Amino acid sequence: MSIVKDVLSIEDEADTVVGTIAELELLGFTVDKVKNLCEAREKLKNFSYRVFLVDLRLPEAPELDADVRSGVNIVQEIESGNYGDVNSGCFIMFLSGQNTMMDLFVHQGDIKKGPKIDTYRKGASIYPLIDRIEREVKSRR
Amino acid sequence: MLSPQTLSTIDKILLHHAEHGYFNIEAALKQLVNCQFASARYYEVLTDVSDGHNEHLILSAYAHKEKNFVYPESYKIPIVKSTLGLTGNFKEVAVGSFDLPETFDRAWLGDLSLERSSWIDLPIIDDDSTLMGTLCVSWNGLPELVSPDSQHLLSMAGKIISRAHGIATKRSISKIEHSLENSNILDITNDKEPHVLENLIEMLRSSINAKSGAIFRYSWPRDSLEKVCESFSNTGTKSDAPLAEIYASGHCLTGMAWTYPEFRQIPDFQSLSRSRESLINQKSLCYHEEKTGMVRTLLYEVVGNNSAKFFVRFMNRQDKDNLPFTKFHQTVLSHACRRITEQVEEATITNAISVFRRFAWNSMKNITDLDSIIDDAFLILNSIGLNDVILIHANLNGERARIVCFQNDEMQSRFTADYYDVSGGSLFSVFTKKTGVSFSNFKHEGLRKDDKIVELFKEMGFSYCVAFGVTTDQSQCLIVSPQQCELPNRSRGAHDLISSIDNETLASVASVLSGCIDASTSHVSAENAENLVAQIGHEITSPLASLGQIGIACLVNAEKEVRDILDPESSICKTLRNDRRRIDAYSDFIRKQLDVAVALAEKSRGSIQCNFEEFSWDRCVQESWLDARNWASRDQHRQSSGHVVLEVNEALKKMHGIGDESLIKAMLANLFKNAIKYSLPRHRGKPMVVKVHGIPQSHWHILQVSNWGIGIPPEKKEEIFQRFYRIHRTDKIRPIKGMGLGLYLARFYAKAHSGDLFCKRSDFVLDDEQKMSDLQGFETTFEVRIPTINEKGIKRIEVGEMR
Repeated sequence: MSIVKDVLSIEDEADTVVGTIAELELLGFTVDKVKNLCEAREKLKNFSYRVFLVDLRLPEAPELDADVRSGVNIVQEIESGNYGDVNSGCFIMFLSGQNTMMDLFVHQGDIKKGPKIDTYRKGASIYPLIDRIEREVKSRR
Repeated sequence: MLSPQTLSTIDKILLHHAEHGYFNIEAALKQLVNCQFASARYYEVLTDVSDGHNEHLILSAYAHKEKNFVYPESYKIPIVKSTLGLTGNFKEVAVGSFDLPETFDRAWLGDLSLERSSWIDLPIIDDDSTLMGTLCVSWNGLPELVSPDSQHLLSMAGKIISRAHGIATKRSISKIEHSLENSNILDITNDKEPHVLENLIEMLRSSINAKSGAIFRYSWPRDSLEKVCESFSNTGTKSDAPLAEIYASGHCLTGMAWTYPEFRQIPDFQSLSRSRESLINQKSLCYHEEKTGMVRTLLYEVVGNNSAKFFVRFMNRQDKDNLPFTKFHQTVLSHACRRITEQVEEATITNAISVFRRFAWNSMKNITDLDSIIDDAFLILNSIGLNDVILIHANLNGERARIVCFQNDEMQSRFTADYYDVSGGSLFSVFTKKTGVSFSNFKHEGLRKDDKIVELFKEMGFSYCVAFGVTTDQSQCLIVSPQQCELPNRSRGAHDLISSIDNETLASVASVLSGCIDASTSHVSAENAENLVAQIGHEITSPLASLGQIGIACLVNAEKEVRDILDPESSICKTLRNDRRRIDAYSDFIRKQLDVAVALAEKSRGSIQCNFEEFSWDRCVQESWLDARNWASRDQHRQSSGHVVLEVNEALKKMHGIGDESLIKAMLANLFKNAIKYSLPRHRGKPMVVKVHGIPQSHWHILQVSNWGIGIPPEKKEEIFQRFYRIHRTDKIRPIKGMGLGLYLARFYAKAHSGDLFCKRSDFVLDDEQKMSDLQGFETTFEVRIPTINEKGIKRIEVGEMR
């Protein structure tokens, strides 16, 4: 049985979430940070998470370009139960710097917004996001 | 079939290698294996420019075989007859590949019906061996890639290899340069008209800087060469065939430099050098030397919608009835161009247009007066056989239109006239006339509108041949097809050429000319402004998000440190928390503004994310007023014009609404800035007043912002909410600056709340007709209506729906 942590942030541009993560840690949440899908998969082998912050565009591995669908792909992996029940019951917040791409995926059904999945525009106020994460983490403890 | 994911990953890996300046196939393959995507096979068809000896296409292939992976049949390249092969010009086709693993099965290429025994090394690409491979084969015929699977793979491979081969492509470029240096082209251009060559090289380099693009070479078909020779038969030279070369690259236009080797043998041709200075000074695109009778023309032509070609034409002026550009040649060239451009992805071709325009732009960037541009426009037209023309350029900046008449290649008269362009933007019109009508009879008095000019020209015997008016956003482009006009009897070649030019071509020429005109007059069009806004918006969105996050993180870390020694509820910790909220709010506000600006500029259906919460109207008014006052205090003219004070009514102080506070403030700030901008001192020694009147209703919160000063004509009350709209009104006391966006955005923000903003009234309240005509002494009131029933929460506001 893997160790359960609160938040896994999968974001290659760490600066775009550094404040959010700092606030979450200050609030006492356990937060792991990875920068690509390979690192994320490694983490998921050993840990489970209640909330995922997933950038829409992620690289497969260091030094590679980000793929526009990779965020959706890793979430599908997580939801499929490949990494355990805790992960498959998690809350996922997609992050994107562009509304257009996010809207497209939502429109196509790749991102099914609902109680378990939501989207957040990078650069928007982080405190509503932090409130939401706080609620989701606590409801899963 | 490989999955898209696999292809995508391979694509990334290979591109990654390419973008880091190296391309090691072994490393790439290793990385593929590491990523568990080891099955890939790519082919690329590209013509290579690095030969210099033979005519051939190069088919490059890259393959990697995964253990136990069996390539499906669809991967095999079928052999079919080539459409290009119809010309019968290709005598040899080389097939190359990357260094292949030992497991590579040559039978995969079996469908090519290759003569296996003739595998040879490609000496011509030895220095690109790591990139271009080492295998080749002689083969009669061309592969026509009809299989969709193959096409897809080839397309992918083409993209990858062309990007990966930045080094190779650069080498190719240097070879082109070398080739040019040793060719007739350079003999003609080097040190004589260097800007032509520089432009060519720069153009090609531009494509390389974009890290994309293969250079193609299409050798002139043998039988076509013979025909070309025939066309030159009356020049007395038959021995050598002219050489046509078409250059294309991923981010570059397709182009052709065409010359005739024997020209350099003509002694008089060297005398062109004497006219070099004058040619440069003229910035001409058409060069002719009357003395020697030589004509040299750099001609642009757009191929289809998305690509362009240019060619350099030389001809003996005395033989212009036998222009070498016959319909046949045009067809062959167009075919070749299309064949090449078909291999270039859509987005890339789109870029070709911009390169094409930039090229034209660069050619003319030193031109500062419209007359020169009109001269160049004439030269372009002249080069396609239109030499009896009237050119008119007019734009909306209040200048008088330039009208220039040419007849028989010579300028007959040049003058300006009042000319009103009703379509908006720059208007560039070209009129041609039937021969035999004297321009001296042309009367330009009383010109007022486009249609009148047309009528006038018609009365004078002009055939309304080509006219294009391009609005600033190119939404309107008036084209009259050449096919509809009566052309005088011309030489066969020129006539053929003219006939082959379609409306799209003319539209593109018009577009280029319009762009040049815009550049020369430093006129920042709305389109340019929008592009700039969109580009900047995209560029700074991410850094801005990071900036806010880093700021917050710093303060969080500071609070952590402080907490070691102080209580979390200490004033320092509270201050740090408040400061984080402030950073967050500012960052959020700027991001929203950017989102709106970008969405509007791109005319897209973008959206902005808003956070609807309860807000105090009074607090928003006060903070927005402070913002507007600070803005005004930075304006020296505004400072000197006296104080402006705010008055609010009591009802406002009790009004609380639901909405995005930052947008409400932005809306109010824009209204206040507008009010301050157009206020005038009403009573000597007393400050100007901006009044805010809050009217709470059951379903609406109404806010009226009033000022006294410069008014708004009744017919302009709606127009002032249009983008970039400004009333042409100058305050005698101080300049009134602005871009015409404030009210537009303010209304946009109101609509984002399902509300509205409008000019309720602008009434003249003095008894002074002079002041009324000056629009001074008006009481103006704007009214905002925001519904009271908005719901709290994060909302996405679609920009497109509110435009």
